[in-house]
Amino acid sequence: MSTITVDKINKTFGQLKAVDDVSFEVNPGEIFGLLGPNGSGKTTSIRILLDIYKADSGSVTVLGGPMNEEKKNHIGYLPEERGLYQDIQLEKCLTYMATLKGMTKEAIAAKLPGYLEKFDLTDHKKKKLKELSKGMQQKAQLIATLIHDPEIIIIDEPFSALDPVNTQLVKDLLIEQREAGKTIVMCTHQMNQVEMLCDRIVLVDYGKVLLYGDLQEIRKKFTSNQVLIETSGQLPENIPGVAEIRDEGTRTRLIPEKGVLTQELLKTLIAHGVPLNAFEIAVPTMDEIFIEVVKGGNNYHE
Amino acid sequence: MNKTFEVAKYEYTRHVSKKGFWIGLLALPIGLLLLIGLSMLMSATSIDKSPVGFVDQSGLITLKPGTADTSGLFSENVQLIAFSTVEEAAKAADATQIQAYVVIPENYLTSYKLSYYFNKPINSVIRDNISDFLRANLMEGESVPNLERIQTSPDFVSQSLDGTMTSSPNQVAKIFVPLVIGMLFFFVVIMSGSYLLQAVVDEKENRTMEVMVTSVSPNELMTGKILGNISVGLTQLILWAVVAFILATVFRDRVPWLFELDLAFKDVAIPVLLLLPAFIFTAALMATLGATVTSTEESSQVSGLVIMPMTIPYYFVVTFMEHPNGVLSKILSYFPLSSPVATTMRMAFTNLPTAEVVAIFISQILFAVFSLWLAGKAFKAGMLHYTKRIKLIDIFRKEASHA
Repeated sequence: MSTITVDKINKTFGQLKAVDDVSFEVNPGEIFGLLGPNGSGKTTSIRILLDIYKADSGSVTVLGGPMNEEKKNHIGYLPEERGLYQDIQLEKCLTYMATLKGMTKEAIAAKLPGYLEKFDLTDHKKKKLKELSKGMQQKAQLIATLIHDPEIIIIDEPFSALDPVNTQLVKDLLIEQREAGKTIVMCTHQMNQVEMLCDRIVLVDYGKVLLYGDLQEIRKKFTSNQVLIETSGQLPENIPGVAEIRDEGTRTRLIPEKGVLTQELLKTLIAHGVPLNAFEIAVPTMDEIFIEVVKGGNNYHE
Repeated sequence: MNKTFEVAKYEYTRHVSKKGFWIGLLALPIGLLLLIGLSMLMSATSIDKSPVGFVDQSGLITLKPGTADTSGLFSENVQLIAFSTVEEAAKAADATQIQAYVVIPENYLTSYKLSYYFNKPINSVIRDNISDFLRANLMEGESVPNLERIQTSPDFVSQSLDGTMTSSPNQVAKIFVPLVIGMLFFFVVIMSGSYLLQAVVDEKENRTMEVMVTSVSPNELMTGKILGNISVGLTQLILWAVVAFILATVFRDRVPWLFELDLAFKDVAIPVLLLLPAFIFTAALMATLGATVTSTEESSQVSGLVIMPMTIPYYFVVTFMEHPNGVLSKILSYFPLSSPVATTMRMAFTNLPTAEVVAIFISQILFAVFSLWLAGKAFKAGMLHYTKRIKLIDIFRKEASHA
């Protein structure tokens, strides 16, 4: 059973149709990518999901029913607009935030030190938020999102302002949460992170769903018979069956003529004596799929 | 409700744990104490308490002046010394044995004039000592009840012919109540209101709105903020009241009128009861304004809109005296920003029917509830407009009905 079901929601602000008939489901134990260009309706969809906005039509089901005050304790939300009380100490701020998520003082005292340690913030717990770097504040916000052990985690650009070490830390944490059966909705523009973390995605633009489904299935669907090769030798100018040769730095992309199979292409390259270090089917990156879908504006539902 | 309490607790401790709060809290009573102490010290040290002579030419003085204890810094005694002749007294004054002498003339009982000859001008301590001594001599032999009868002035208990307006010796006390109520109202509203505006604007400036409303409902958040910040103002007020009470008790003989106020329970209870919904209404109104602006600077500009109407009853004191049941007086006692002061003023000049007091009280509770609802609505409408000031009309738009 889905943890979140969004069913044909619509939202208009004045003349602007921000969300147009958007539907998707998110299941327990998965990281779900909510993708789209800036201003595509992602944040509005999340706000409807969290009952910050009311949808003009359509419905949202969270944890088996409509959103209510009690369910807020089971959701961890890291919004796009980051915000913590700048003028108070980190420890006090996180304690207050956790209290508002229904945690008892004892539970906070038991969990907070571990999180501060994990995010390397123990030495800074008595500092005011405004004295911390942007990256530290981002980590503090992540603690506020996760400390109450929410069933649903909604995070918007979780890797912004983080260095590679902390990016890896957050990635590990998200994977850990997924393995614990949590439902994770992640908004990000970093498509490499989507490829690495997301199980399923929905891609919206102009408020409409353009792409929705299993990430690997989508990538397969966008896979053509193009191949990527690495060679230590010189490629002949014309290769039979190859329509275009594209240099991509260390690799070369071969775009076959229509009807030419990958196996035939491999045979041709060997027959021409091309020394191959690598030969692989060119599965499109999420970046490429994103650009293709957003520019094309077509619907590619699973 | 639990989260409302948590928000209120956070707001309260946030202010109370700041050094600035305690400095502000203690500055007034300490400043007041220093001022009182300094003025008393200056007064005590500036008054010359060296002996004063007197020459009785009237034969009215039969008692011997007692030995005055002038040792204490704040002693208000002066030693009086009797001289037989003016020459003897003048000689003693020249020799600075006495600072001055007073001559009680033969015709004192017809002229009631004393002649005072001095090296230093007369002061209140000398005047009181001589007057008391003279009065004691004049009353010598009279019975105590007779003295009371002579010294007690009659009180006028008046009532208008239609029975709506009364005045009594208690009038001063009754006027004193609206003044105090007004001061309490201003203090708490100005203090709590500024904290509250800041607290709401802080949410916007810190961009915490979105996280907060996914933890608590906007109504819980606003109610918590309002209660927490009113409590900060009330804490200051109660502590100041305690200091004022201690000061008044210590200096009881300097403010005897305060302890002689004859107030009925309802004269105090009704204004105090009216203050609570008025606090909530005003605070919620401040919060509503805070939710529509984007910065602290803007918020301080709009707070004047709330504070100004609170002073209205003081402009119409004469109207309250002459027409306590007039239309304007009634309107002002129902208008939430002026209700506590206006109602108390009316109570000072007329017998307010119980039904009307109840009606005013219920209306104020309804206004308070409405203002809390409005504050929650404004918060919802303005919470995600971090950089844009919203209009009051926007609060009621459909898009504003977020949650």
